[in-house]
Amino acid sequence: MIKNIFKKYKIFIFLGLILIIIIFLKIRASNQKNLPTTPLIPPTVYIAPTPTPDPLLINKFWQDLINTPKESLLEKLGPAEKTVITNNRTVLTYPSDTENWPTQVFLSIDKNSVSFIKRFFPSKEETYLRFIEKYGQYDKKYFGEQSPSGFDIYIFEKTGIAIVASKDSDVILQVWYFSPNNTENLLLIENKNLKETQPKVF
Amino acid sequence: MDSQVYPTTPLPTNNLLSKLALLSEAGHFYLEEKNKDQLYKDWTYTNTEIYLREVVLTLGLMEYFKGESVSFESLLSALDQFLSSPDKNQLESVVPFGILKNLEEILDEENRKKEEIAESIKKAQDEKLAYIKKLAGIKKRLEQKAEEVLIPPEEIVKIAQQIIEEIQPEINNLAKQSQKAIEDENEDLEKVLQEKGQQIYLQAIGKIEFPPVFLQYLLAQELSANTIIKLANQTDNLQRQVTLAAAISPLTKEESLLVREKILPAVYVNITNLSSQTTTEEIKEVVTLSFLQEISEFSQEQLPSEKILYLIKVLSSESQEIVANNQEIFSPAAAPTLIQDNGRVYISLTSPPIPGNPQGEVYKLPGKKDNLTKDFLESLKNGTFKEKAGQLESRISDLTLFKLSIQGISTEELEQMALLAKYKGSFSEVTQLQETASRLRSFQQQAFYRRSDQLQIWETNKDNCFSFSQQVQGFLSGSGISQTVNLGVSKFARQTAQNSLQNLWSGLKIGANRITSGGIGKVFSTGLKTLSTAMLPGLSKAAAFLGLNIFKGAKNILKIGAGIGSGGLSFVGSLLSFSSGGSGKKILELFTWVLVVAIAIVFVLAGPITFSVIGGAFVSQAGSITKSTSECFSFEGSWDQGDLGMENSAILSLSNSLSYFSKLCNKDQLIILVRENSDQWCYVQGNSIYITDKCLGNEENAFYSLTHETGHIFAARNGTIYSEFEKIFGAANKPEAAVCTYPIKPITTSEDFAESITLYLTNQNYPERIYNGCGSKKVILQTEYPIHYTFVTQYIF
Repeated sequence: MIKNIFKKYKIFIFLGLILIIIIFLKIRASNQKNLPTTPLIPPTVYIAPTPTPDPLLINKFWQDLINTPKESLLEKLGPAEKTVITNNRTVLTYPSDTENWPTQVFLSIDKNSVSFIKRFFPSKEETYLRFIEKYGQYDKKYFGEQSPSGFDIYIFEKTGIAIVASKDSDVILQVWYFSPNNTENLLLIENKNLKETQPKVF
Repeated sequence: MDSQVYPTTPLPTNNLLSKLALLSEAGHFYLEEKNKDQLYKDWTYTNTEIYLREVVLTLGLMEYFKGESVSFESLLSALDQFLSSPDKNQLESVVPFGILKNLEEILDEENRKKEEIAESIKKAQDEKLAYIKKLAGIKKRLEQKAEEVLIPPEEIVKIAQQIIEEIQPEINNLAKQSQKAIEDENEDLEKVLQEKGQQIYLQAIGKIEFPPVFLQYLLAQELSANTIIKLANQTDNLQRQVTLAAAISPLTKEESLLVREKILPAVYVNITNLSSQTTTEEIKEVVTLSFLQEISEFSQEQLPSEKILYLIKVLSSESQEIVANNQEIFSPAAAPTLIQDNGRVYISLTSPPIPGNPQGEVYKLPGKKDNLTKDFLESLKNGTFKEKAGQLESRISDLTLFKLSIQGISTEELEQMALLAKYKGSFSEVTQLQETASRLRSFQQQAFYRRSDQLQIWETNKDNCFSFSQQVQGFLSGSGISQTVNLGVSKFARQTAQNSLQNLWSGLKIGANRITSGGIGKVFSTGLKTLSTAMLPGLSKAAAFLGLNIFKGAKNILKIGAGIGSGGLSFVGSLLSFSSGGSGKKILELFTWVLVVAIAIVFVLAGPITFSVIGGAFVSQAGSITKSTSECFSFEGSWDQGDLGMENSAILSLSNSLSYFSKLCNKDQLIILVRENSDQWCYVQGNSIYITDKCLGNEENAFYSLTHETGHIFAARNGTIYSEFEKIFGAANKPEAAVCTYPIKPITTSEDFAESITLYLTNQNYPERIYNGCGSKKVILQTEYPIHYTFVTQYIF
């Protein structure tokens, strides 16, 4: 009799057993996750790194120019290569290491001081990760003109720096400078290019 | 259809060729001792040696320095000989895709600089070389054994005379029966005669005093029924002497050559992989099967039956000693299934199984009911070998093709190997490989293309299944279920795996459809036990093949609820989100239930599982395009079969562009192709491409759209390349207008970038395409946008 019942329902008994095994393993797996983990990598002898120059030191130079009077700017950088009007602002351009991509220095509305700077194609050593290491986590992220290619805008509000960078590739296209804790100029100038949500890329 | 899976004509990129040429240059630089401490471009001496060895091993160029030690010079010379082929421009289309991709990747400038990659390559090489060394050692031992001359030929005649004198009266008694056997062609009578005759022969030997070495040799001889009948029917003792001498004489020069060059390799490629736990019977089985594998070489009596029987006997006993001391266990990467030796290809029936594919030993399969080896040996003894050779050949062929199938070796891979062999000038290999490919194709078709729609289902799902399988495996390993599977395999390893394989083999033999045709009830009552033990080892792969239908079935049968979605693919989507950790506990529990049901259904549907085994839905050691594409894309949303086929076809065409594909794909971050029902253009968000109706319709359209959208993801994953593009084409005074084929104007630099790639590839794949974005005309990137063309060829292709 029992044998017959077993024969008749053996598929269900079998499925039940599988279920029990899976549940058991799941419980075991979740318990294992809570166990303190021991480090897998043995401690290594600390070797002092050879000091290398910080590739982001250059930012200090440009940051210091923000809010400086136009005269001081001209003293430091000399006369501009060109003066153009972009987004209703007077922009002085200075040659950079990349042909056709001069650094743009935006003057304030009263044209008396520097309010915003855009530097294009920084050196390869200036990477997204180095910016995060040096300035901490970005405060805001926007989607801009190059977002379709994975280059979004990361804003370090407290330091007055923004980068157009590809997080996946660790590459930077542009570095922007503005008054620390004051993104007014950035938002005014870049207004039409900034989006808070990820756009569809066709 | 299969050609879509393994491209037979990849786009010539000259990438590998230039990388190999650079490797050769570096090699020549380091030939001079004084240069060894210097850098050649970005190569070091050690680095160059590792990569030289890898190329030689991977492309199977060992034959170029046969007999020499594996020195730096000989490695370089092998590469140089290979590169000196007049057809070198064909290189990329002849190297099998998996090998090509592997070589391209390891020779990639960035990868080459990574020490850990070089180290891991070296480690794998050491294992491969150890395997080759072991193979060579066994080869030598078996050759010596086979050619060992225990009795000088001139002594044989004298010995034959002594034996004939001794057996004469008894052999005369067999004359009547012998006559009858010839007249009636009575197999049973022949068998009886052979046994009697052999007994008479052995007794006679026992009565004569021979030196021990002679005795050992003579005792190992097995006279065939043909010889016995001949001896019995002959009346003249001199004639008898000649007959017996021919049967027991050592191998002639021609026979030795045949054995050494055509038969022995089959034996040692099988023996080398046997573990020390293999029993004496199993070893004899393997040696006998090895002879059978090369049956076509001696089926026309090129080798007398007695000599075959003798060789099987002595080689089995020699193999037993070899195997007893076998401590080395090789990985599938080091011990391949297809081995090239002396211009021929041998298939190892004992090569280690690929992890994730069905386990178990193929050589044990025919022993249970089939008795292939027994039939072979008996036919040799009974003198029926010649008549039965055709049938035996077909049976061993099935076994060999079954082995190839479960090792994931496909017809396309064999065809590409044939091309490579042709390139190397090894024409006997070409014929062999092409014949094997053709036999494998009909074997697989016979096994699983019995329903007319099965072929289409298979084709459209194959690539997708690999992708899904990876997700399943990912989930399983996270949940601990795979440990159950692994535990199952290791704990009951041998028996369970062997039963599993036996069931698959039987399923194949009796016809997969017939297993399921009896309905679920019948399978429950007859097949549950065997099926339940059968499927665990290859479960996830089998589930992968069945993924699209199995979960649909699960839903219908158990009415799990609307949460799973309307079809198999939306379930894949849910699964993806499970594995990414974005779901709640309840869904996870639900998934557990679904999985249990899935497992149950896998057990029940023996037929489709057999399809997946035989059809090659398993991992190939050499890698394959299907695997590569599945490491790049996954599918989500409700795809119908037609659209799915179209999209898969687009992916496969895209994957032909190896350089682009390798830079685009990242197996840790798949590109998700989401089917979306809307009337807008398809679009990208993050790593997902949303495919709408506008981007399908036909294969050309699907290819064009997919390429464009992947162009955006390519930019994000290759920021340095995009940055260079932006420098040139994003500047105010850009040297060339944006590519007009992109229909939405104005065209941004990002779209220009994606479209440049698209136009380049579409020009190659669909040169007649008309572009509405440029006023409905044909556009050629090279002639109309030469600066864009130069950029993409320099940086991307």
